[in-house]
Amino acid sequence: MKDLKYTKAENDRDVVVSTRVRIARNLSKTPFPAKLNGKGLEDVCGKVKKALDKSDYTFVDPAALSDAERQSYVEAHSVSPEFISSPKGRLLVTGKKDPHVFIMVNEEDHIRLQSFFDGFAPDEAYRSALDAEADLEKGLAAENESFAFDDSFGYLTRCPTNVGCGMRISVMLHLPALTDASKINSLAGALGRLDCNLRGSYGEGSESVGALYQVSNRTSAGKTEEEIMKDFRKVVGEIVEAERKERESMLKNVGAPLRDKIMRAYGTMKYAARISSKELLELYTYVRLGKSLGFDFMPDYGVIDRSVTELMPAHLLLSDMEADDPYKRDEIRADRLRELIG
Amino acid sequence: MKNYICDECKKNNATVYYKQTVNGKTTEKHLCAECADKYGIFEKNDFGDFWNGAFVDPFEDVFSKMFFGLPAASNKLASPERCPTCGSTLGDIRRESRMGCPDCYTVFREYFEDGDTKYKGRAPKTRGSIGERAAEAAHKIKENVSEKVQAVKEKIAEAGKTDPVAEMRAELKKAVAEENYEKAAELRDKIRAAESKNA
Repeated sequence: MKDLKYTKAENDRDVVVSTRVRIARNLSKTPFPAKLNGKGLEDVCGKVKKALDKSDYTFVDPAALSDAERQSYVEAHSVSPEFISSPKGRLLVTGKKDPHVFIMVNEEDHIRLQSFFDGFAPDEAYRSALDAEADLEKGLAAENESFAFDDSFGYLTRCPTNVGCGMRISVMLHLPALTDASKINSLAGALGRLDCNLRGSYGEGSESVGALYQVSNRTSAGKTEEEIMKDFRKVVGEIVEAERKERESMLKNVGAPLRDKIMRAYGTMKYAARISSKELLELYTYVRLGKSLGFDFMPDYGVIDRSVTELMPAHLLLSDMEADDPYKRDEIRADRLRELIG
Repeated sequence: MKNYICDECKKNNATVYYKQTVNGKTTEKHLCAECADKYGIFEKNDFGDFWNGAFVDPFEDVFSKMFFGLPAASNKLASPERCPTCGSTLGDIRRESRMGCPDCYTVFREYFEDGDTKYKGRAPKTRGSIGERAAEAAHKIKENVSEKVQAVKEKIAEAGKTDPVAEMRAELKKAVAEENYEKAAELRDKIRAAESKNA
């Protein structure tokens, strides 16, 4: 077997799966969503709809979606599970001219504007979110509405920890080596001291499936966007380096068994006739790791990452009615995967 | 045992006894559970056994520290006032650890603002540059707040005003303790003058 060499990817994609910037804004003089009744919530949705151009944005009423459609948004990490489980009085806005943009209306704040990018791309995500914010601000001004703002506190939010710039930046990280070395708990502790959160890929708790984790800043109160960005870049940079070091160490110490596991995972992806979603995540974590260790015939990061989302249960159900049956679904998943990785 | 009626609403039986001493001035209140809640005093809370009549300061609390990492704004008794836009009291805010609406920040400003930390970032386009905003800050804040909110703010400010004579007495005590007898004598004369004026 040829000598393996660690290969860093562009935008640190070997470790960072995706970046999300979220901006929280509220309408002035209007109670926060938790204090509004049905009519009040609808009014807020109506104002946002009116403020944005239909040709640039798509409006989705989450209450009108089927269970599978709602679940698919959660699978894609576009919305919080809480938002989609109580869809009444809420609105989802997706960007047409900029497909990275995703806006939740009436979550904890009136407006939660999000932008998602692959790899570590905080500047692009930030720019994209700001452009959408500008569209919204302009449209609201035409209706004589404005963002709730105070010269002393900054942008006002339901939770006082979010006042100021109201920005939360987060990354989805793939940390198989640190997980294997049982270093995730101490990492979580260190991050806590740096005002950051670490969570398992699907929300609360540090336990995670597929060695996928979400790291985000905790508060924005008292900080400017530049400060948050700068500190966050530093934090992510250090985690990425720690994971890379651990991967190299893993390769050195358990080279042969590790290579075997990686090759077997790849083989299963290519030839298995049935794959459950749980197994998919196990295979995913080895194949993705393998790519970074120098197995360059492994699928691209974009393909690997997309496969995980698109082959989740609700996604499959929406694309093939037969995926209703769990056994059939596992077969369909295996077929699709084979097509994706070629 | 004497049956107290609530000092605030004068209707319900008082089940909560509150005693506070600030700058030498003591306030005692007998409150019913509802009115106590509005003041931000909860029967079951993290701050010790209320029933002993022990001193409980609602503002030296985890809530403020949690959000701004700073000691609470003041030692004042919580205000029972409601925000005119959403109806929240300080008790509601404290219990939910959340504000009810953007105007709550203005109505209850003194309880959450830290004099040193002021927002320095971007602002809505309608507000102008940082320099312009700084120059018009006070004027703009007053302008943007509705009359109702401003009225509630003023009411709270009035209730919170401390007694100048009590403040001077506390200073006098401090001066004596520091053996600054000249200052103590000055204060003593001031106090006498103020008291004879009020008499």
